[in-house]
Amino acid sequence: MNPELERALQACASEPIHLSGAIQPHGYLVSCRLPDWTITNVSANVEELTGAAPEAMLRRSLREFITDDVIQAIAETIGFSDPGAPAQRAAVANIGPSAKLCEVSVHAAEGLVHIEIEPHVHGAGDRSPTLVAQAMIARIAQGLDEAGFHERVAEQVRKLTGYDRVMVYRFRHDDSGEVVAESREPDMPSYLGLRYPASDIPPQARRLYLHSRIRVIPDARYRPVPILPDRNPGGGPLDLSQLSLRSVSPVHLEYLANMGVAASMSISIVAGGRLWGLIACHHRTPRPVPAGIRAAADLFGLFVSMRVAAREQQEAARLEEEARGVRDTLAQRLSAASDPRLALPAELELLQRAVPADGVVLLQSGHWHAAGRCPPPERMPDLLAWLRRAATPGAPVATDRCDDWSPGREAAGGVAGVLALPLDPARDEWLLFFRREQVEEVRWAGRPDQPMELGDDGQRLGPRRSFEAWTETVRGTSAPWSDADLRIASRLGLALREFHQRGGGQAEARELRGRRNPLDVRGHRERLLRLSELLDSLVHVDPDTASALAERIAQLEDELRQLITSGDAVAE
Amino acid sequence: MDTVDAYRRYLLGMHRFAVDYECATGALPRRSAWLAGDLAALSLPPLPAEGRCVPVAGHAARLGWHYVMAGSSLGARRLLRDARRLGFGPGRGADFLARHAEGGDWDALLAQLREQEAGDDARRAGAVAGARDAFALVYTCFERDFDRIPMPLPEDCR
Repeated sequence: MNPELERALQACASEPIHLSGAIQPHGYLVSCRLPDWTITNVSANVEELTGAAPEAMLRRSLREFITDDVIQAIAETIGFSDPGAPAQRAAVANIGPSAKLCEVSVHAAEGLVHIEIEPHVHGAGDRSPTLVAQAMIARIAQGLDEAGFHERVAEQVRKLTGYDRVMVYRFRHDDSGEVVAESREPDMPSYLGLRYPASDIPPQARRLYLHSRIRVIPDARYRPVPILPDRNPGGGPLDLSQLSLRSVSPVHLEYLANMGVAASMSISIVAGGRLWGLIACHHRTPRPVPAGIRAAADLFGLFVSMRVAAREQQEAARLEEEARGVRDTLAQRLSAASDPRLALPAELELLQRAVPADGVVLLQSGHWHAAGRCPPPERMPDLLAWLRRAATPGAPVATDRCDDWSPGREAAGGVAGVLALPLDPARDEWLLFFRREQVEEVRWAGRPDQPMELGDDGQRLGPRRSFEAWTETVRGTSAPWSDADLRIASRLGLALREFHQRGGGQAEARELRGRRNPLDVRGHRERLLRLSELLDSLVHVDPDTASALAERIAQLEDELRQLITSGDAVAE
Repeated sequence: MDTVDAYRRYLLGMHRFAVDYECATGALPRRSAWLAGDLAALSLPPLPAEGRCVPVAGHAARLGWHYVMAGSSLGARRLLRDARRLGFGPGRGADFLARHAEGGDWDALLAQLREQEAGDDARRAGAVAGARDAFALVYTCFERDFDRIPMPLPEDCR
């Protein structure tokens, strides 16, 4: 990638989009400090609403400009919401000297109450948002497969907003995005199936969208209105994360213009604390989305998020259930075997069912035992070389690219992905799961290697101007290993190592001891398994705790191993 | 200042300085409001705030800050001529320059400074330090990365 392009992408990825210091001009912002409602910030256009210039409003009380009943409604709404939570509708009220009918929504952040006021749009949106959302939810609640569900979601949102094109956009494991469902006007170009590079929605935008669930740009050619001042009472930049009027990045506006989009709206789909995707809406002409419609869309989006999360959990639970079944069967059979090491090669078919894979190889005592779709045994040295490069002690190693471990695509024998479980890495003993290569025709929305390009002036890099489908044939990769795959594999690895290390050669002595107190061991194993399940609930611990934990576990492993060896000595 | 682009940069940098000057000195947002109007007229998003801007302690130091802002009104007279040549003016993207150039900020400040002269050395030193801080801020406001300012469509310029 050329350095200039890299710099432009870097600049995009580090732009503080939540500190833009301005709002969109279809509304007004008044921010106050409680308890006395002292006005601390206003949007520069506020005079249109209140008839008072910014300098005449700042440091005065909001009570001089807005009637007590509206302030009461704002106070009540704020009382029910947490600081940092998205804006809530507080009132529909007549505001200012011309008694303009307005929608008022509020949220609290940085010790301030942010009041966003938008002129009421008559007509659509007068129905209760809850009832509207309820009707929409009823239409997607039952009897749809995954694809059908997303399609129906897009249809419902299009019906609600009247936008020309509504897409369900899903983030992939590499943060690129894919349009998985679409509902559009017949004369709009279809984006269904198109892929968008990760830089189109940079990391700070993805983080922001996790917490602010809905964003609307009614007119992408708007003139931003600065906030006076754009600083919080502590002197730092004013955080606009939860402002529905927040002015967006100029690069984003340019991106929309290049796409021929004049109005846009997006609703976050969040599952398991992760931004799963977006419901993205486009319109060719400016189009307001009244607060009532936004509220309905927000509720609907929350339901969609819950459904997506539930589906992912069900799928994870199903995989986990299957893996547990395999582990139990395996434990039974290996416990019954006189030497678990010798018994393991016969269990490859079973092992293959533990982790979704196309083939499995056991490397043990220099032998290559294979089942299912695997690379030829000649790849053993290459795989071991990769493992020595990539392995971290005790943890599974995974890649979805055959370049990582094979001298060429041909040499890999039709597989690409490897997930390796260490059994005894010091002796090059591993259990390897393989996934076959998926030759994929990826249709990108514009060239993915040129997400930004030079403008007409030949100086400034801006978002690309062509979103023509650009087909790329991706070779040499498999379906990626998911977090769930790695989790399941880790647990299987723990169970296997336990058996594996027991079968070191003095199997008989161990067997004798094993007969002596099998019940004890089983009881301990139960406890350890429960512990490993406890670990699952700790997936979100901070790095320090995680490393402390890893150390303690390593210590425990060591101690157990020492017990086993010293136990051997006694038994002998 | 002989290009529209240079005028845009001036507005962006000056707006950033004015906001932080008002936060630092506790001045009411008159200048930043005029500049905000000019930015909106030119369809320019403001330069985002950076760092922390805390109130300046001490009357003398604040006077130093006012000296820098008032001093810029002298330059504004010349810049206003340039802006007019480029087609800008009051109500047409140059409200700030028009008002800033015509205001009596400088004379008022000179009167205050004369009072200060009667004061002691510590107060004089405070004023100099305040002016230096304000100049440093001016400098950073105009040294910002303008690369990513989008070029508005021609019809947005006027």
